[in-house]
This record gives sequence, C-alpha cells and structure tokens, in this order.
Amino acid sequence: MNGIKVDINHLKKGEVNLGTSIMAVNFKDGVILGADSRTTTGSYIANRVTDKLTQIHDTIYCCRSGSAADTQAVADMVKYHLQIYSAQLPPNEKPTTQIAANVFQEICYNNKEHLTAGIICAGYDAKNGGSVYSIPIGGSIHKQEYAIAGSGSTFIYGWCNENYKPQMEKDDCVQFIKTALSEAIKWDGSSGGVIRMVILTKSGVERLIFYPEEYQK
Amino acid sequence: MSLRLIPDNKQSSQVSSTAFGTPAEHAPGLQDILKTQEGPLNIASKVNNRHPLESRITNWEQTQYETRLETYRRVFGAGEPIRRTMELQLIEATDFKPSVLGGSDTMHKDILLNKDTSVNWEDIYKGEFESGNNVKDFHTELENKVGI
Repeated sequence: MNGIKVDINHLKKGEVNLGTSIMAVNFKDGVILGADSRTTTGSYIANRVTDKLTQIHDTIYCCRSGSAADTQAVADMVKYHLQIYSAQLPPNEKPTTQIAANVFQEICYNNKEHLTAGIICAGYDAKNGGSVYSIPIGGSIHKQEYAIAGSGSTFIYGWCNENYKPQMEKDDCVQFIKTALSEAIKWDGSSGGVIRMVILTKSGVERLIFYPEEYQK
Repeated sequence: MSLRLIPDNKQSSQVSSTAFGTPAEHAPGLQDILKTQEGPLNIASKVNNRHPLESRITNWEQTQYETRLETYRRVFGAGEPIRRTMELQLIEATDFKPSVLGGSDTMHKDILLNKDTSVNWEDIYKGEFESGNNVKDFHTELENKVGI
C-alpha cells in the first residue's frame, strides 16, 4: 500500500500569503518592531494596509510572515497561553519575552508539517529590557540584537549589517527601520503599502505609521 | 506532551481486523455483523482512499482540548488536567439514558466544556456517525455500561 499522497502546497494554494518585510531592532530604551502592510493572494493584493504587528501581551508583540491564517492561529494560541500564564504570576508582574518566544517556538516546531509561519517575537520586560527573538519556518529560535525576516528581507541583509549600531537612540532606530523597510519594499514585489512600527519601552506601547510619500526615495 | 495546533494525519500502516468495530463473542477475529446489521466490513475502504482532510476534521476538537489541558498542566500543575478529566468522566459514569431514547442530556458536559452559552451545528445535528438509525442498540449499551 502506497499511502495517500497529499500535496501540502496544493492545500495551501489560494491561501492568503503574507509575502513580507518585517524586522525588529533593539535600541537603548527597548525594542522597535516594523513591518510593511501588503497581503497577497498570488498577484492580487488582498489587503494593502495589513497590520502584521500583533500584540501578544502588554509589551510583547510579534511580526508575522508566511501564511496569514497559520500565523494568526499561532499568535492567537500564544496570546491565550500568556493570558493564562500571567493569571498565576504575582500581582503587577509581567511575563518575559523569552517565555512568549519559546511558546512560539514550541508550537511552530511541533506543528511544523502543517504550518508555514516565520515569526519575529520582540518585547520589553523590566527584567531583561528589550529582546528580539527570531523563529523562522521549521521552529528554531534565535535570540538576536536585531532580526529581519520575510521575502523582502533578503535584499537588505547587507545594508542592515553595515548600518546597525547597538544602543541607538529612538529617533535613529526609527530612521534605521524606515530606511531598511523602504529599501525592502522597493525591491520586493510582495512587500508594500505603509510602514507600521511599534515602539515598546518601559512607558508602554507607541504605534507609528509612515505613508509611501514619506518613505519612498 | 506537546502543544499541537493541528491534528496529526493518522494514516496507519497496519491495522488489526477488529480495529473498526467491536469483536463478536462468537467470532473474536471479526466484528459483530449481527449486532451492527451492516454486513461484512470492508477494511480496505476504511484505510485507503480517505479524504486528506478527514482525520484533521474528526480529530480537531480533541486536539484543541488536549492542547488546552497541556497549557493548564504547565501553568497550574499536573492536578489541573487530571481534575478536569475526572469531572468529565464522572458525568459519563453517572448518567445513563439509552441512545435509542435519545442519549443522556448534555447539560453537565456543556457546562464543563464551556459550551452552554453557544449554539453550533453540533447542537442541531446531534451525534456524528452514530445517530439516527445507526445508534447502538440498548442491550449492547447496557452491557458495556455495566461491564458484562
């Protein structure tokens, strides 16, 4: 008996795809996450103002790339897990980014045959300051100073490597991400739209948006 | 135990001849044709050529439930899933109404599974493959319940 041949790619064809440019960067006071806003089904842009920066906890966010459905399901699951986890913490104590990232990693690894999800999990917690974790497809986990992912990120590896400085000021970091994502959007067909950013520090969450007129060179 | 989001594809490479029905007392290697009234079982049709999504759909609720219990185990300790499973088993052990008369009321189960405030297709089309004309007959059920 040969068994059933299931073409997993076929099951996923027609699925909405987050071809993407996403990144998260550590800076002096915390982390900044950035993403483009294009979601495609083949060559049709299903959503040109997508929000790929999803909240997992008060100051823990994730950037999603890969299949939109898969990443939403995984992010939901992690958010739920963290809600239960923080219920049993002492009052006013928050879960660390490391916990969130490792739950992401476990779910992505244990379900790897069925998922196409590349996630960057970043957050600010009082104990460790800002941290950035990259969880690529397959379910490995990598703690980094800054992480880039998505189809558009391949074009900016060199530039980011040259221009990243540790412990940047907030404005420098915003500029760094804006330029990096603007280049990625320029060269990658599946990235575009607006650039969304989320700044996570001890004072909480700040959301920024940059329209094409501003970032396009 | 791991946190599974999506059910495994349970494609078996070998099956026992009694895997798809309770064995008959008079012929322990085969299912009970007299009781099921369905004729001889075609095992090949139960194993081969199933739809790729079949195992995903049939095992969906169970997988989500197990993942939730695993989450509780990690956060609150081993006692939490054990207690929840015990409560569900308590209901099954103490309720009995034959399927031919409609089966027992699901109120207690709904409350425990947090389904008492929602209405889904499963509440309209009750039962899955064993419902309507396919219910277990009263004698078999009572025998299983009492443990004969």
